[in-house]
Amino acid sequence: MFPVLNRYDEVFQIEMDGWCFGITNYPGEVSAQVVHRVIRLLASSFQTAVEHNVVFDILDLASKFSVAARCLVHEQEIAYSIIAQLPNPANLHEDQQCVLGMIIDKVEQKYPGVLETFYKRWQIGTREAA
Amino acid sequence: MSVAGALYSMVNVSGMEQNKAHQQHQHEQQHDAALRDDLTWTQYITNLAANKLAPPKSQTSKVLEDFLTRLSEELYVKGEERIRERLKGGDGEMGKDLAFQSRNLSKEGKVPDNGLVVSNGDLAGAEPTLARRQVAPELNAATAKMESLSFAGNQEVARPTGPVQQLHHEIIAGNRWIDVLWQFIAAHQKRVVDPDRLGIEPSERMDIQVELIRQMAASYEKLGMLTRLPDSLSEARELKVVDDIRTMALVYVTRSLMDVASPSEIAGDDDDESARKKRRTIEFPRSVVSPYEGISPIDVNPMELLLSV
Repeated sequence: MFPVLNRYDEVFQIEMDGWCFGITNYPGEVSAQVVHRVIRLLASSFQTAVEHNVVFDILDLASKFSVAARCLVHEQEIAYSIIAQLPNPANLHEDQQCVLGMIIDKVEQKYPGVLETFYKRWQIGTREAA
Repeated sequence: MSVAGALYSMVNVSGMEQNKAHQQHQHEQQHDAALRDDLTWTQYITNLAANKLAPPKSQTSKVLEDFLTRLSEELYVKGEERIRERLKGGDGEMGKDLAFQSRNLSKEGKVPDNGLVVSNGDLAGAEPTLARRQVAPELNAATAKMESLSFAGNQEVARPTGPVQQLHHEIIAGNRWIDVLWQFIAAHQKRVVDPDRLGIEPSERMDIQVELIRQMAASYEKLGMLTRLPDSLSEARELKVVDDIRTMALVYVTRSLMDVASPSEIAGDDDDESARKKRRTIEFPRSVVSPYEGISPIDVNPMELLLSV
């Protein structure tokens, strides 16, 4: 287990709660597109969390977002959307890759096949970058 | 009876039966068609009576139609002398008189037939032009933008000749907002874009159109005229929603951090080393605080810059 750097887990928690608070208390209609756009915005936060060795629970996070969006989007869809925003392991250090593995492992246990799906995607990304 | 004779009579009988069945079938078909026609006609009459033939107009179409009517009333005046007087009079009595007349026309639902079109191009010599001041601000913004894009100024399109109301209906017949509004703007600008001559790609033209429509839609939103944005602007709406959510998230984060840190820590009055360390360790997530995430600041040395110049 790697130590969390700079207490980023607290910051990450507050940020995620903040976004959930925003979605929950938004007075207008929140569509599925808006939820996905918010998750796309969080890509940098996920990357920072991985870089700070924060092993966050994607399933819990997806559940929170789903509830915040009045269950408009299923938590599995949100979980996949979050994983799609995770950084490419090819661009991470060995420790960070391990952290990323632990993050995805929880989702893999509930939704088998996730790792394979995103592994292909990351491979394509690496190939395109090369 | 020989076998051949029996066979002949059998075939003939069956043929006659077939003919008879075919005729009956035809008759039934005709009867059904007549009945169907009757039903259609009855339905048509019923619908006509109930005034349900015209499709219901959406709120957006109504708003657009009102907007176009208002703009046209401001752009169309009757008689060339009136224009000259207006140009001479400027803000004087004549302008007020015409504005009053225009309002009356709009109230009565009358629009002058074969009216003379007064566009910004016609009034370009007069400063400040009356038409520019009277036209809605959003059209002015669109006009300025179009002029700044180096339009082929001397090329004029045909002026609309029919009644204004008919023009409106023709314009509104289109479903796409971009096409509808763009046609309207282009018709009243009396100037056309020559994309080949100016080297403007179709995709660029589309961007310009979308930008103009966005400006107009933004002014609509401010006025509270629309209940929803058109489909072509759904992305802009999404961005606005996300911005609002971001603001609320920021409020939440600020409150949370205020709960975590004491007021003296937040104010920075406390010089205690441990408190300072704590402040340093808790940092705002970049995606919430900074809209320029991922953009690194540029280091500029003013002295070096001055020396290089």
